[in-house]
Amino acid sequence: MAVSFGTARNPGGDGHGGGHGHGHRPHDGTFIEHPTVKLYVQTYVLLLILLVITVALYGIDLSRWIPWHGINLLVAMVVAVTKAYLVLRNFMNVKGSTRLIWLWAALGFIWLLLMGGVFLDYQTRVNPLGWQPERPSLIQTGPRSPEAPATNPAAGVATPGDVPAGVQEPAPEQTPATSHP
Amino acid sequence: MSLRAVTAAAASASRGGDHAGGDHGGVMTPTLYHQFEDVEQQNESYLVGMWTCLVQEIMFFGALFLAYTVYRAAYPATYLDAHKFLSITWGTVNTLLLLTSSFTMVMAVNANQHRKTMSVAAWLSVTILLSLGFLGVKTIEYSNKFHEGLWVGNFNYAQANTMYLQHHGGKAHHEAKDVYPYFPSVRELATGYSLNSVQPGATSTPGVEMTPAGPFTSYQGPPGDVEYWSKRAKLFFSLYFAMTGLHAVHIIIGILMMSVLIGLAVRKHPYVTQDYMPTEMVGLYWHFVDIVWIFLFPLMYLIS
Repeated sequence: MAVSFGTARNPGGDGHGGGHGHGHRPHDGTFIEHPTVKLYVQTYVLLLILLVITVALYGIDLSRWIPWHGINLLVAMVVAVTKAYLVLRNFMNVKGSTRLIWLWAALGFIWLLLMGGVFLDYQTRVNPLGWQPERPSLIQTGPRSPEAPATNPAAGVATPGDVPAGVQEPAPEQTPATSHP
Repeated sequence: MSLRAVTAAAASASRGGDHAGGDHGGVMTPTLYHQFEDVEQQNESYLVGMWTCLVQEIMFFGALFLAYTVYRAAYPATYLDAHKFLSITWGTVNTLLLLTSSFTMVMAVNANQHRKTMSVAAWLSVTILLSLGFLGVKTIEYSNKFHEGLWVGNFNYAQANTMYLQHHGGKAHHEAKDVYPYFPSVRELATGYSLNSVQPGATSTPGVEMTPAGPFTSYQGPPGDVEYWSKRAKLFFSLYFAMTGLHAVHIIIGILMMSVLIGLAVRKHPYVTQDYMPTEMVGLYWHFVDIVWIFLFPLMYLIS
């Protein structure tokens, strides 16, 4: 049985039926209701199962069946989000809280979604040479050479950690996903 | 008279004669502060305050996760290579410890709601023990990184690689052997642009030759060129120490808050005997720390 504390916001009025927290009124987000030990144990067991799945996934190459190399990361993230959802819903008792708390709990994650959107936008703006400073001469440590071209694409390869010029990139053994059977 | 004294006096006054001492069961009578209509509204306000704190924590960690994502999308092969230095066994043990500590934390909250004050102290003590275990494992991991040469000041990827190969009997990691798999980035999926669309053996134009050196390529680096990987692996370990270090700081703060709660419970303070919200709010914080780790574990330790 759910445990409830305190009194209803409007005792004796408007549709709460005067139940006053004896655990029988349906939870409609207008009062705080607490989970039972049974739910806590169930959640904990589920979390452990998901942990086993997370670790097991590391040893299994799902791209053998689904021809995309990001599939393992995707599934791992789905499992992680499920774990986080279980913790939020049952351990942090967002489920049993009021609507105001639901909104507050969702706010941070909505912000994360917005941030993810900004990231996706950034990722779609291809610059094959990478993003270079507009005027490389400004960040050079040595004396400026006035004849150094600011926007020469050839100068654009001078990113930190570059492959030395002339080193040929080895061809990847795996072909792109689209050519998988 | 201090606020705490007022609270204690009000609580003991409302408690009446029946409930003197650490009683089990019965109805809680938390102090109702004058600005609130009833206890339910007061509790809701506490929760909104705590969630506001957690929302800023989500934004705080979210920025770090974004940095992780941007660099992982740019250097997936580097992340794959660098993660081999993290112990999956220790990572799994730590996840298990944190998940269990979250469970013991909700049991503490549950005991508090049923006015079992001594059980609250007991469950919180178990939670602290588990989190100390977590910090112990983290200490082992960090000192390993120090000896391998992956620590903040003495970054030496070549040394770490040599030690890694010695430790693994000269065999390379089962995933990072010599094939770095093609991993299309989000950018490539969205645009269809891919460096790997250049087929092996095809003569590339001078422009295309330059592109693998740019920062946004999905396939990088000659395998085995430690110098090449070293420069990029710095990114991974910088993020690793920043994110797990910050997480560990949160664990330490959680331990301090739980210690205070145990002290209150042992002294039968009305904050614990007559109210459960302080325990609930420490619990919310603790579960948030757990959630951060739920994401850190697969992102740092289980890159495949």
